[in-house]
Amino acid sequence: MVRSFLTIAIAALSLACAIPVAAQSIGTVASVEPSMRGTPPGGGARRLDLGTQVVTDETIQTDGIGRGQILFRDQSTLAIGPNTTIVLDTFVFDPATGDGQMGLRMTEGVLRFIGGTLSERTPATIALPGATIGIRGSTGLFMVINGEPIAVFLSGGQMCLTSDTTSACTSRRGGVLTQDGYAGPINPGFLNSLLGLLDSSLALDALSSGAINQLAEQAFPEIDGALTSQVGDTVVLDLDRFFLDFTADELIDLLTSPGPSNSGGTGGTSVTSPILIICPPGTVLDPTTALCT
Amino acid sequence: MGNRTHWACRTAHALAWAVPLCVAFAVPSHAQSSLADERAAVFQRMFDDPANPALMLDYARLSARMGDFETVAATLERLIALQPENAAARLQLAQAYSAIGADPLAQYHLSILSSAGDLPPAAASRAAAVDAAAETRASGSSVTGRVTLGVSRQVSAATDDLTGSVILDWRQDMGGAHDQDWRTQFAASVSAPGDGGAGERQSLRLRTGPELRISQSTQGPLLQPYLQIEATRDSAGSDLNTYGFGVAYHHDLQGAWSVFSDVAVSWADNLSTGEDVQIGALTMGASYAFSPGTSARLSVNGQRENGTTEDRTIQGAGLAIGHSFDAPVGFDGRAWSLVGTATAQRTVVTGGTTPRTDRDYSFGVNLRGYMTDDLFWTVGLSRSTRLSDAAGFDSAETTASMRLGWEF
Repeated sequence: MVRSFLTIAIAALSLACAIPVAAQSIGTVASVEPSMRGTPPGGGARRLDLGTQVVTDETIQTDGIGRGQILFRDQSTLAIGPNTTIVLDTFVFDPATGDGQMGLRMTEGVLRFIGGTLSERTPATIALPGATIGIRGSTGLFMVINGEPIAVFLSGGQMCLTSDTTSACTSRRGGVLTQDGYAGPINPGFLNSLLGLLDSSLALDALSSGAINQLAEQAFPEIDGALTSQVGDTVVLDLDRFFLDFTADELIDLLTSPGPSNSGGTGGTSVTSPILIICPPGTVLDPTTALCT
Repeated sequence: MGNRTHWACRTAHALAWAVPLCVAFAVPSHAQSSLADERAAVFQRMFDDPANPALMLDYARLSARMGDFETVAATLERLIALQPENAAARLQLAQAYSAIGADPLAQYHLSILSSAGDLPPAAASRAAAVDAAAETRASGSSVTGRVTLGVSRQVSAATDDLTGSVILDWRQDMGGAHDQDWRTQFAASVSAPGDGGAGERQSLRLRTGPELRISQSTQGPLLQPYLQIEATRDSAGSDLNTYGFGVAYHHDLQGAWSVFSDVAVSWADNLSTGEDVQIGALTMGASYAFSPGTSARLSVNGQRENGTTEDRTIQGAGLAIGHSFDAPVGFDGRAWSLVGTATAQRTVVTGGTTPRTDRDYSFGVNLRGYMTDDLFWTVGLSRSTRLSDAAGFDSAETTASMRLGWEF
């Protein structure tokens, strides 16, 4: 009798522990290429496949070639780039009123946020190392490079960065915020490179090698040739080594320099997409396979 | 008392004309609500089946109809992540980014399409337009404008006038962390007597000043302190040179509302009479968008003019309701628009040779269609009435007009 009671109690306790995880589903994996990992609170690491539900406080990670997108219940969308780690800290949403709050943390990598219903009323917060971003009804691109937080405002209302030393806002499309405040408009070539990290490699492979070479040189005239290599039609830039070769100030200057005109190409439109691959710390780029080993 | 009754009747007449328009145009508001419900239902299905391209396209289409292009972009980003070879979706994504001003993102996707050779001629033309608009905005300086030429006919007087106008709007990026422009607006108009016409009139106006985002957000209030000069030449003997300053305010509120106001102080020299006039003016109002294509704008205004020999006090109100719709079958180009207007104004003149109170009412309707993306035509019909408590100042006229125009 006692044993039966204990069995039932343990089963009930296990069920009680499991329910919150299931009940806290806040979003769904809307794309993944080729893989992402998630670690829900109190659980082990799991593979995130298309349609997998994510929960509050879940940690999401990608490797050097992984990327994906998450659709939240308020219609916000996160695009997660390679070598990225984020934690879905806060997500409270009342669909009836549109009220609530959204907050997440990124410790490394590249992330694009497209705001949904929540951030139209209350700014979504994105905590980066050394700074916190508040973004209202907007689209932004965020990255952590050598521990430096960088935020790019792409569209919408306003984005603000707060750190121990500064508090700055921008409403300029393409405006860059760092720990030093507003750093100017982003270099178009570099922005395209970051977007390339979030985009599908299949489409990017369609770029001609000549165009890529030309644009890579335009976007990054300071690059040492040894940092780039070519695999088929793809120019590969060892971004990790690239960043390490610059001081933080030099990097900010480079990221926000006006850059050359991107006009050219065919069909009356611009061609602006060198492809970048970031190698995780401790690995090196194999120029023949474009893989980090 | 008789005047008051007449005023009320005229106002009621104008409103009686306007209210059916309001009701007619309010229909899309219900449609908007239905659209939102339909979109919410599709979202739930898409959330449960996030890899379903048909649901994503449906959701993007509904979002576009609601004018929510940020959501269109988010949805199509997910779609092309699953279908990177989908050129049509990528082009729509570029257009969505262009619609919300995210030009670098639009150009990024256009560059991929262009390099892959995935653009058919018609799509390439649209892509080039998006690209050109982005390049213009990126240059930091942009000029838009409109030129019209036409004829107006005063039906009762059986006279015709030739009319022309030029409007230029030059924006210069002021740099810095916020998207703020120095805005200069120029307007010129001329009216010359045609067949049986009696008078001619020319006017020039220049307004310049910075547009400041006082909350440092593109969605916050916009404040423009400005300087303005204006010159009017009139064969009826009202040649005026006016100079002044003011502050214009505009705020797009959350939802479909926006509010605006304009307060100005100016000084006018009447070259014909030698009269100097000090003018203080206030206009304020609100507009409401029933749907992305249908909106109403209500304004009230007050003005005080203190002259050397004559003073005027002016109070007025105006209502405009506009609706845009797809061009009829067989007509290419942009959406057509129908705008209805109604105004009422009371002017009290003290001093001078004829102290009096005038009441002016007008209402009209204007239809605009496009022959190409840049060339348009308008036809309009309006009725203006003036009632005065002084003899000889009453008037009534119906005016029909037709214009051809070019937007750039």
